[in-house]
Amino acid sequence: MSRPRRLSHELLPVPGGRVGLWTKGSGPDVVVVHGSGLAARDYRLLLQALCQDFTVHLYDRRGRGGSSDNGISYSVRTEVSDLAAVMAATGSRRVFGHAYGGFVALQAAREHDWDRVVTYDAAVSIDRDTPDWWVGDFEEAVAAGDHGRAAALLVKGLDLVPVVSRIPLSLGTPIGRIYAASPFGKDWNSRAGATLAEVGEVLSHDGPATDYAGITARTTLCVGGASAPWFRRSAEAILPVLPDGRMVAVLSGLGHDAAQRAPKRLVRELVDALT
Amino acid sequence: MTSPDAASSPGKAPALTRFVGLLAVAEMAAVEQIGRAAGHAPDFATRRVLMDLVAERAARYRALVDIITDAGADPAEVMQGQQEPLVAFHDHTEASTWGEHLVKLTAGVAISHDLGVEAEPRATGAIAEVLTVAEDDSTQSYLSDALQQLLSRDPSQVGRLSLWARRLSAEALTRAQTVVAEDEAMAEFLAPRGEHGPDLAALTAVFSRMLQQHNQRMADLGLKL
Repeated sequence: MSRPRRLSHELLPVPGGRVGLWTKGSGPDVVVVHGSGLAARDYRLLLQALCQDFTVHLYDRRGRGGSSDNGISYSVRTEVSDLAAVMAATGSRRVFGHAYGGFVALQAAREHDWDRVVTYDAAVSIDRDTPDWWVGDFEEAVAAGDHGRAAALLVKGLDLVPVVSRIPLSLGTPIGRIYAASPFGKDWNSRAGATLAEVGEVLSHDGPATDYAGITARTTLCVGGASAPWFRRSAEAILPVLPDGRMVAVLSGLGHDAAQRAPKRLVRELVDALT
Repeated sequence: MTSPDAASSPGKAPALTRFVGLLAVAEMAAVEQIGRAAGHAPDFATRRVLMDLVAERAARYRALVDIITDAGADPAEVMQGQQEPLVAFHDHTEASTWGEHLVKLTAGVAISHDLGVEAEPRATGAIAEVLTVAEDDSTQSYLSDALQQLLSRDPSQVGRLSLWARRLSAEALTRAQTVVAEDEAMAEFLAPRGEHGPDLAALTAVFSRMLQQHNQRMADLGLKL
């Protein structure tokens, strides 16, 4: 594959569909897997920051951009298959996954012999440590098209923004509805159903840390110091079982959305881990 | 229309034999799963029912192996070639509680039955006989009752087990789609052949139907799908 310095886009055939793939930079190839409720374009700052050191391949997971839809049912198996296809087509042996993308990267790394796996706030549930009291209500809110309430439940349920999560739902719901009705909420509304399916996959893949013992890649788990505490707890649980696991880098002050904002401290950590 | 038997690849057993090999491996894996479930069973009566289930699955396995042998193929070789997706499915859906085992067994037996119903119109001879052998309803209803009782005793398990049931069907479906994508001749046991290969719309309809049946069954038992 050629190594474009300028941003290029292609529709890459993958088993049972296609994914829209953005590539930029030079150097070793790195594939970036985006989080839930997000799309490739939300990571343009990260792409810009990493492309100084790497050829960065950022793709839209299914249901976004030019990528195919998920078909009649959703499974992380399709995500694993798509990621493996993108890795193979780009000749990449390094992957970075954010949040749900970190979950996908870790699931895929269990069965692929890659060189580097790096995650930020990987959404992995270990020993039922992930809060799930809110999932039933979230499902009802999504089914009823009440995306504002769904957003409030997601943020509070997963403790995604700890400062905001302390707000009671009775107050969070109207705030969520204002967000959902705003131009900023448009993407969230269209992806709430996909987010529900993805949350379901994280929770139904709950298990012991040893599920990840077969990952052979050098793996670095990064978590935000201002992110929900369960991201750190699950990373700390997985670390001892990884054959080549590196430190859990806790980046103080950084929240769950740091991978989209790409602050220098996170980028430095990612470059070190991916090199 | 090309018959499935004719749609074989060089160096491979005919498609019909590969399909039977896949079913045989599925039965073998089912017996292993039932053994694991028995270790979590809450009482002796349940373990005895699981033993009946083993006997049913083993009888089907035997009949399928005989079909492969009668077709002049080596069962070990044919089954070896078909084992990867099933081994991977079970490796990735290892149940850890009695509730998860119960959902997996209940869903597995029923999906296997549905698959037989879908394939039966296109099967002939001995394979049709195996596919149309009636399942022992008493085993299936014992498992269903046990699951319903578990959920009514402990409603807090409904959420997790619903997600688990959804994961099982999605994972099974994804793997099934991979099998037919990589081996088009196998698809012809589930849907008629189109002009240039498998009729994708018909195949999607089969998978949708099986998914709906699974969801309905799980919902009838008290899970939310």
